[in-house]
Amino acid sequence: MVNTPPPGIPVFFPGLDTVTQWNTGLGTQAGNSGGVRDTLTFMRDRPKFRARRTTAQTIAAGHQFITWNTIDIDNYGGGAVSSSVYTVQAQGWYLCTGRVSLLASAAGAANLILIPAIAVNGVSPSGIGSNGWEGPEVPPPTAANIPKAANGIWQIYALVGDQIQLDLFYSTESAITSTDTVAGWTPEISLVWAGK
Amino acid sequence: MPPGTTFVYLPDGRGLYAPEDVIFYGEGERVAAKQFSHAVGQIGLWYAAPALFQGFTTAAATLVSATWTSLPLQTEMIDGYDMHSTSTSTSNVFPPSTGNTINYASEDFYLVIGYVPLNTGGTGGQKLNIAGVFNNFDGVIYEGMKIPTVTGHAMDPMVVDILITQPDGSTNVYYQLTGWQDTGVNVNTVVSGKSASLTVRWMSGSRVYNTIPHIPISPHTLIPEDQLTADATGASPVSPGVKVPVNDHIFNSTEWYNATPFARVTSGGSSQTIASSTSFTAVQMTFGNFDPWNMWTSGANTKLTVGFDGLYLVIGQVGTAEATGATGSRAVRLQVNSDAAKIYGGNTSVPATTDTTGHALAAVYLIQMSAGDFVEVQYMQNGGASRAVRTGTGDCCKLLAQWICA
Repeated sequence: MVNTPPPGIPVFFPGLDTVTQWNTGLGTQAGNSGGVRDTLTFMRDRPKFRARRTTAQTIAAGHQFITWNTIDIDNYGGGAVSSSVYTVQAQGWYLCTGRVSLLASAAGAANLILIPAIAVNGVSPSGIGSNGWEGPEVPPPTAANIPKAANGIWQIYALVGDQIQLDLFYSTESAITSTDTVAGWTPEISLVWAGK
Repeated sequence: MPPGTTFVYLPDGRGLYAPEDVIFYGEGERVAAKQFSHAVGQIGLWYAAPALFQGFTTAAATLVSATWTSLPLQTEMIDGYDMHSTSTSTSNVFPPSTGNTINYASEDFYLVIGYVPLNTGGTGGQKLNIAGVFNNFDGVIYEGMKIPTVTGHAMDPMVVDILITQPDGSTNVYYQLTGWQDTGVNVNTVVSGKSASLTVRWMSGSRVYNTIPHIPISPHTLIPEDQLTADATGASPVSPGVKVPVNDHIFNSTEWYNATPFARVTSGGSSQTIASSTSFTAVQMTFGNFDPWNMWTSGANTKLTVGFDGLYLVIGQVGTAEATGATGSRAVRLQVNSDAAKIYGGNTSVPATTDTTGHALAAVYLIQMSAGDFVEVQYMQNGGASRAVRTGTGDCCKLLAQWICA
């Protein structure tokens, strides 16, 4: 597991050790002076994570976090199979995209609504909302065998150790009790470090 | 730049200089510490902490039926570059320009993400809600999702796009989060449990050189015996060192991050119709709105083909005409290489049943792609008749790809 804070801002002082300033930075101002090498390496290879829920997850009307069973990308080791959590390894802003879905083979219902939301430590990182910062609230199709999905994007701030989760909310009009299992429409999340 | 930051500084206390130029050294040129520090400081600060604003409404705003309304943003999560005021003209967000008269970066592109939650209107279940962002640079309201109200619930359309700012350092360009509904009565935005929000984040400048771009390499680990050069490589005069070309290791990165690969293409002028089917149709993009990296061609106009490996933010939106009495389902998705195992993002919806304003859904996702991969936005509707895609500047279909990292 990698646990590396984002590097500080490179700064060069005349007459001081070039090698250290190039590689790691002098660190004379903790967290504020990064080396050229480390800064550019981090910018190029930022923490990123993609996970999916490819098998049915039992759900009920209301809120629930998606538990991941497939991890496709995790270059900093923040995720785990059978967990809903991505544990932040480097503090900063994260650009997060997520999709939630209801079982497509089942019929929906009139006036049903579906909402994805992004949560940090189980609550909304914006301070608005309960189980997460809500994305689009959409009325999914009512017919069977038609995708029923909602997809959002958020930029959120998180500290090392914070837990990012994707919440699925749907209203009570539907009798659906499972997430979708059709490839390409299963719940999934993809996020990337997006700034100090 | 955590939430609450009001301004950012370079480590030595200077205020931030937005990237002004790409410095390339000549062989034998003296490397001044201050100049070097400034150049790499820009990389470390601007590119690692780009201009970012995030604001919310805290008091319900009223949307008059069939009228675009700009929404005030009374509270800020982050405004590190002084883009917004919470006391005057609170709808306006001014994205900083990195362009000026001495360099080549004449345009900037900003990611905008907006949500406009609306209470159910007087004719819930029948009419439409739209989220949009107004850009006063071109006077266009860039529409996002256009979805119907339903009985007993709020509805929350999303708008996500990458928009241009005015070139040459001008400071009077602003964005506004806007909403629209046509329920026939006034409708308030929701402020309990959710609220209208706008995120504005710098993504890229315009491409500054016509040379073949270089994806950043992993910088060399310097040892005392190494010799810094402009471009020369090979053995250093002192063993076991090597010559380290700073233009390759540093300043190519400046050039790259100042203008990372990006494309925005739209359906302006298209005559495409989407047949009624439960299969998805790739949407034709007929206008290369911004395509400095040549991702799009008219001969393969449904595709953006990426030239570099990397993680891309891909945004697709499809808007179509609708007739009154619309039935069936609507869905949008992203697909890479026409591969059934590479379908991403996607929103779905029922149509409005008594509205002819149209319908629009967006798909957005961070997708890892390799050089040569292509991505499409695809649409499905089974309302019983073909639907023409929208072609207006504000409500057209669009497909965008923005390189984020390796």
